[in-house]
Amino acid sequence: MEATGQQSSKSTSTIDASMRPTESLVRMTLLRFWRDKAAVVAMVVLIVFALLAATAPWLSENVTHHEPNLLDLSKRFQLPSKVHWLGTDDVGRDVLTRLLYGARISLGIGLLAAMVAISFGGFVGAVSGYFGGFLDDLINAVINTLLSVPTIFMLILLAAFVRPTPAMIAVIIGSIGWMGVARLVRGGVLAVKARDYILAAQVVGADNRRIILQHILPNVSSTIIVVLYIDIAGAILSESSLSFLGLGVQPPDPSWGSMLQNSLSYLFRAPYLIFPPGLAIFFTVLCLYILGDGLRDALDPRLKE
Amino acid sequence: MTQFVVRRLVQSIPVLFLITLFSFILMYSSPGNFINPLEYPGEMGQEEMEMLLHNLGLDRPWYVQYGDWMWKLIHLDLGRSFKFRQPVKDMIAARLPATLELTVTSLLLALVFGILIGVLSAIYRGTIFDGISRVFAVAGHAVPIFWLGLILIWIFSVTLRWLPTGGIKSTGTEAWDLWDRFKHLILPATILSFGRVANFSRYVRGELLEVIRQDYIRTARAKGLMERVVLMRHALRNALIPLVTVLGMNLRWLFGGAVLTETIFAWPGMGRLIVNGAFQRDYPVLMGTTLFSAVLVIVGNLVADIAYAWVDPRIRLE
Repeated sequence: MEATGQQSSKSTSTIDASMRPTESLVRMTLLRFWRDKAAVVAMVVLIVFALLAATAPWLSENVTHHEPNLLDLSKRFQLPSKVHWLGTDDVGRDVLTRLLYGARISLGIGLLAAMVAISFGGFVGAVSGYFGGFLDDLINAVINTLLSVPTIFMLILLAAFVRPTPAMIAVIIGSIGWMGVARLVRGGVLAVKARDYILAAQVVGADNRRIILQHILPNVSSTIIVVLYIDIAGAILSESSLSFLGLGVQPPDPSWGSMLQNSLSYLFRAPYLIFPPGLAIFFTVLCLYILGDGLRDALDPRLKE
Repeated sequence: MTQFVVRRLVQSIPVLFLITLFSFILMYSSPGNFINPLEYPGEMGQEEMEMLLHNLGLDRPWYVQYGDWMWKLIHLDLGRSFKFRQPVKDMIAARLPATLELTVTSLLLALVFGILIGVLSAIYRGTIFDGISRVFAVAGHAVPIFWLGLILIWIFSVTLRWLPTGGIKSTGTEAWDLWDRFKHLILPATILSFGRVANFSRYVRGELLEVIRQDYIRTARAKGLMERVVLMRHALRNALIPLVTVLGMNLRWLFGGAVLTETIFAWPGMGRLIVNGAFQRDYPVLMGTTLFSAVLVIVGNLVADIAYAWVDPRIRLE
């Protein structure tokens, strides 16, 4: 069995070599992506943001020279200056340093929440689409109903019951954001399921687990990659909403949303405080959307408008 | 159609039931309680606290409490708030008009501007206007509405002093003053409708461009109708039909956004009720408002689907 397998793969590779198009699939995808300048710029911006977040402790020690949670009541509400590039907040903390540390929490929660949503939603969607029948109907009913409760209501309901550590917040956001992924993956599975190679795999005797993991999921992976970026964006917005309401990241830890919540109380005295965290959220989410769009067009050019 | 309505309701009831059950279990397995003695140091002894828990019925096992809550729910009673000792139903009823005032106004704003921008960018497709409306649509989805709220308050209330910073009416005005109410409504309604305008305009644009390609539009043009008549009477009417379902899907965003908008503008609606309920761990209020809003959205979606079949005879509800 193994010998024939090797032989056949060898023979297909010789056929491939003569018939292969001048560019590989991956290379063509990368090329298409590269031509989409907006998506490339968005990706660069996001990489910079991620690097800034990752190196926040080093940056605050060597560049901004401030601690994120250090109070200094003698320096309240200072406008941007050489010492405090983005000014200070109501208790004299350096805004730039908090923004950098906030990026760690906001981006980290976004990433973790999206991963929770995608792995759970992907699993549910794959099972629902593959097996169909009663299970599919049941899952659809659950998804439809969950989709009719406003997200923020469920977030508030769950956040009220647990200790809001950043990891817990990410799990909460992820656990109510899986429905969109589940629907998309289900649709993808339904489309792939009817193909002949799935039938072939079934005939050969592959079990369901193997068919889903080896034959179906790779074929819906481009959908999942695109959704990942949209979901990170959604999770960052959810985190900021929850923190803005005071139910998310708890003081003194900074997140972009909690910094905005803090600035609400001092809108008359220090309006400049609303801009750094707000712009950070806006540009991060905007870049994620643009990158997601660019990836979708690059991975599946047929979907382009 | 009756069958369709019944099936949809029958589908959503068990899931709503599961949501309430799940919330209840979570509620009672989570650390902390409505009464946290640490918040009242020295004011409340152990005995006194137990007395209070007993009075609220919180010393019973969770399934008894859940059964009790469900039993009341079947009789359309959402229980009483722990904090205010008022029926939750009355609390919601008192705050519903303010939320509806905000959400309905926002929906109307979103429809008017969404359709307007959508039609214009379809007509002037590929022009600068179309480009700007496209950028606006992407930005409209990326901007956190509470941040937009802060910026508008800063510009129009703090700097220019044209509009009030929050509330539904000026304090002290007892009589119903239309102009005063209007001034209070402008900013919150604008913010809440912002993302929806972006959504609707893209939708109308895409739908209109799709419809224009249809044969009956060519027929209308061929028989010599003015382009304006073709667009407005033949194309737009048909392009707007699917918007009915989009409206239904947007209800959820509208109610969700209302929570944030009400918080920023100190708007005395349902959103504030649920946020305060979460802070005070006032479970009946939390559960009641969530359930109520979910039912509202489900019914709204159902109405939208029925309306869709009604305006478009090609659609059959199965």
